[in-house]
Order: sequence, then structure tokens, then C-alpha cells
Amino acid sequence: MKRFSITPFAVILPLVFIVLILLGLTMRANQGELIQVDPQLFYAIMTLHGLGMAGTAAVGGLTALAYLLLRYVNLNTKLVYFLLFSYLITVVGLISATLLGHFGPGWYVLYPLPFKPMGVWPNWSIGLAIVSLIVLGVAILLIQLEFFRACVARYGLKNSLGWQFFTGSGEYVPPLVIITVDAVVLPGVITTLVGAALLMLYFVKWLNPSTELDPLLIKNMIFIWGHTLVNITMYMGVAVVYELFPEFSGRPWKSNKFVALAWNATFFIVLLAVFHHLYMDFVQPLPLHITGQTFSYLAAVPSTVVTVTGFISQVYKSGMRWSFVPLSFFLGILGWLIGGYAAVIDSTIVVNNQFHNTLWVPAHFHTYFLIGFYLILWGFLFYAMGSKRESLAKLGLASYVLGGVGFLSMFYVGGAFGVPRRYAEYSMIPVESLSHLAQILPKIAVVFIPYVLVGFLLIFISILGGSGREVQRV
Amino acid sequence: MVSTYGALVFLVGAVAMVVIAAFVSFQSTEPEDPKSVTQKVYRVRSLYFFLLLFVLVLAYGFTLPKAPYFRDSSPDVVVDVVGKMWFWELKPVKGAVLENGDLVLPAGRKVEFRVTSADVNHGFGIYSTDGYILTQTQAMPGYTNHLIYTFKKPGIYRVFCMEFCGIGHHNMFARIVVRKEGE
Repeated sequence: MKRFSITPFAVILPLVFIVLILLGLTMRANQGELIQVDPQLFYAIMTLHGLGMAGTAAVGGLTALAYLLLRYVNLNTKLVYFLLFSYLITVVGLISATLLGHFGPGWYVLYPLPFKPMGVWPNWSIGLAIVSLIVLGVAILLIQLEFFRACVARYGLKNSLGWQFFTGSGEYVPPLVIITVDAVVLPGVITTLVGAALLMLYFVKWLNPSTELDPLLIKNMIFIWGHTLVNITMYMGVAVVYELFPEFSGRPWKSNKFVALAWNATFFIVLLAVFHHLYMDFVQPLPLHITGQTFSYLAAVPSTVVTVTGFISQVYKSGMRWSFVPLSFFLGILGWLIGGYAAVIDSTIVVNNQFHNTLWVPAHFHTYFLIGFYLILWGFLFYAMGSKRESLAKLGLASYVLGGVGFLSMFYVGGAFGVPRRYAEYSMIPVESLSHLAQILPKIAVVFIPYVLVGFLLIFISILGGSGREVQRV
Repeated sequence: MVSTYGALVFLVGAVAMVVIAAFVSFQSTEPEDPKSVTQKVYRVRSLYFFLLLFVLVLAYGFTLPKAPYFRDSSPDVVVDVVGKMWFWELKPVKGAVLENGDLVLPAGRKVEFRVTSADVNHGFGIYSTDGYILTQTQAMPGYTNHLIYTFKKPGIYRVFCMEFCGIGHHNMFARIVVRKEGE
């Protein structure tokens, strides 16, 4: 039995999360004119906050899956520690590039902005940021390949993807978490390779500035990578819930043909919904726009028809005790659904024509991250650390969710009124009513962020109260 | 405003989800046989599946034809737009003029904006006189996006940058003055 200590992950990931929340607080306080941050620093902070939150979530999700997969398959646990090591290198690299070098082209580093710093960020910061992302990208690719290898080695390719339900061969049915992991890891591998190609192109451009890249092609590559990474991170959270929730509800959550069909469909849906990010690039071929809306709508079907109804079957009349772990999972799934619903609305082309790059965008992705995926991650860490500090954790959860809902509401209101996102300051907006609203909303949001922070500190203390639980081999 | 309808649809759906979640969680205290629960949920699932498909197909059919790509492209007025770090260059080509640096357009006429960028990606977003976003497209170097829009009412409209483009992004605006034809 291979051992896997969750403790370093349970310390490092939350610490980075706290720093990133403080960066978020700084940005909203500046937008509300409560403090003054130089725009150079603001956009560097924005870049670090975005890359940091996406990377931390992905590493957290992969760690949780590694821990749970060890129940069933033989994983090379050295790769999990390699993931953590690479993550730390990337964190140090990105902090240096952004806070010291003021590298600030935003988290999706849209070409050619990283290479047109206009005197704001030095050349070394561009190279450092690219290399830092390559380091983490390689680790993510390797661990995903290892997940896939281990599952196929134990269950075979057909079984681990749940295809035996359709071939009627009646072979051994793997646990639900295996089917889910394989269905999300495969698109993950494909799109991480696209991300790797993108970063190599950026690296070549950095070494040889006369290299010219096609902005539209690069934009497609960025979102094929970034969109999929964010989406499969959410699905990793769902896989964690599939595996652990039955321990609290007392009801099994088994594989069946509907679930297998849903997750195999998700493989295509997650890859083809990507194009909704490029609706406002009218030169993109029309079939890709239509593909974007079609598959963004279809994304609602497996997630709600299978996962939500399965979840209701777990909870309804179960007689379960609502301890911290199932409570955080329950709220996390709810956050995922509400954030996902806001995203589906925005994936309607005619709606996106007005919502694109307004505060509606951070509204929906903060919903399915802050009170979605991350809640599931905190529940998982509490479980894996074997903590018993229930009351403290629940108190923290109440504060975190209350603060989170208040904070997010300001994004939604801003989005509904067309407040643009990624503005260091709103005072320069030439329409007085919109400028006024845009500055009031972050002032209110700032009141709620400390509730998130204090709530999370209580959850973090509770998580650290455990001493680490052995992986239970099933 | 499409965005207002979008926000209302979201609000109704989000509240419904919270209410259903609260109901399900409150019902968790009284245990019942899992098989009977599963049968009940499966019945609801089938109904929900068809209802969801119906709503999605309806929304799809209703919204897709209104996508900005399908607007009739025989414009009365043509304007070339170039985004630059960090200002807009608006060049009248047909049926429009520049007055004191402002683009002046006639109300009620179909305008085609041919939008591109000289450096990095920008977003060409048009806001109404009272600060609501009306439409937008991206300004990408090496490509030209054709945005068709008709200003129904006279007034002062604003152009905002809607794609992050560096440290001047939050201060990249332009004015469009729309007048009644003949004024």
C-alpha cells in the first residue's frame, strides 16, 4: 500500500488561497476608491490572482483525486509530490514576475499583450512567467497521464470509461469515480498538450521577438486550454463528491448506464463548448459560434439530469447527519450549479453580446469557484485530515458562505448593469451614473470579503486540527 | 435590454435552485427506504429531462437568429474603427463625419463598424447615453470584425474598451454623437 500524506497539501494550498483572497480584496478596495493602487501594480495583482486561483484549484482537484484513486488503483505517488513541488516553483515564479516585475497581461495572457508591455514589465518577467507556467503544465500533464494509466491498468480501457454498459458485455463495473476521472482526464490531457504548444510558441516568441503568431489562432488555443482546465477542475470536485458523499448519506452511489453516458458525453461537451469565449470575434467561422452555443446548452443536460438527481437521491429522506464535510459538498454543488447556470445564460450569443467582459463574467466563475469547487476542496481536506473540529468548521462555513454570497451579488448587479470588468479604476468612466454604480458596488463587496476571510481561517484551523487519515483501500 | 432579461432569468432560476436545495435538505431528517426514494427521483428525472430539453430548444431557436452575425449587412453608414493603446481612431468612410474629434452619425440608419486593432486585442463596446451596453465586438490585430448597429435615438453614445489591453485599459473611451438626419 503506497502512503500519501495529505498534510503538506492541506497547509500550502489554503495558505496560498488566503494570499490570493487578500489580493482580491485589494483589487475591489481600489475599484471602490477605498485605497489607491498604481494601475501597474493593480493589473499585476489581477494577473497573479487569476493565474493563482485557477492553478491552486487545479492542483487541489488533482490532489483530491489522487488521494481517492489510491483506494482503487496503484498510482505513482511521487508524481503527486512532484505536482506540489512544481506548483511551489510556479507560485514563486509568478509572484516574482508579477509583484516584482509587474507582469500584468491578465490570467489568460491574450496574444500579443504579454509581448507589448509598453515599458511596464521587463523582458525577464515575460520569460519567467512563461517558464513558470510550463513547469506547472508539465506536472499537470504527467499526473493526468498517470491517473489514466493506473485506471486502465486496473480496469482496462473499456471498463474504466464505462463502455461496458453500451456493449452489454457485463464485465466488471468500476466505481463511479473511475469513470468520472477518465472522462475528465482525457480532455484534460488533450487540451494540456494544446496549452504546452501555446507556451512553447510564447517561449519562441520571447527568445526571438521577430516571430509573428496569429492572434485568432492563439486565442482559440488559450481558451481550448484555459476553459477546459477550469471546467475539468469543477468536474474533479464532482468526482470527489461522488466518492465521499455516500459515506455520510449511507446510500451507495453506483455507476449505471446513464451516468456512464453522461460522463462520456461530457468529454465532447467540455471540448466543444470552448468556442463560446470567442463569440465577439465575428471573424471566427460561423459554425464554431453555433457549436459554442449548442454545446454550452448541452452542458446543462448531463450535469443536472445525472449529477443533481443522483445527489437528490443521496440526500432526500436519507436520515443523514449534516456534519461539515457533507454540508460543504452540498453547498459546493449548489454553488457549481448556480455559477454554471449564470454561465449558460452568458453562453447565449445574443446575451453575450451585452454581457461579454462585463462583471457578469467574474460573477459566474467566482460563484462556481469560491462557493463551488473550493467549498468541496475544503470539505475534502477536512475529511482527509481526519479533523473532528465540527463546530468551528461549521461556524467558519456560515461566515464564508454569507460573505461569499454578498461579495458575489455585487458582481452580478454590476454585470446586469453592464459595468466592464478588469478596470483598475471606475472614476474615469464618462457616464456618471455608471461610474457611480461601478464604484459603489466594490465598496459593498469589500464589506463582505472579511467574512469570507475570517470564515476560511476558521475552516483552515479546523482542517489543521486533524492529523491525517490513512487512505482506505477498498 | 437583453442583459436585463438575462439577469432576471438568472435570478428566478437561482432562487428556484436554492428553494429546491433547502427543501431537499430539510427532508433529509426523516429516513425512508432508498429504493422508494430512487423510484420517486427517477420519475422526476424523466419529467425534468424533457422539460429541460424543451426549454433549451426553445431558448436556442428564439435567440440564435438574433445573433449579431445575422444582421443585414447593407449599411447606410460605414465607419472604420482602429483600437490603439489606449485610444480609439474612428474614421468615417460613408455617411458620417468627424466634428471636433467626435464621430457624428445619423439616427435611424444602419451603421457598419469595421473594427480592427493596431497593436493588441481591444473590445469595441457601444454604451447608450444613460450608460447601458448596447452591443460590442472585439478589435483584433490582423482581423476586421464587421459590427452592424442602428442608433434609434439621437444622443451622445460612448465607446468603452471591453478587452483588457494594458495599463490604459480603464481610460480608453470615445464619443459618438447621434443626430436626427438633416440636423
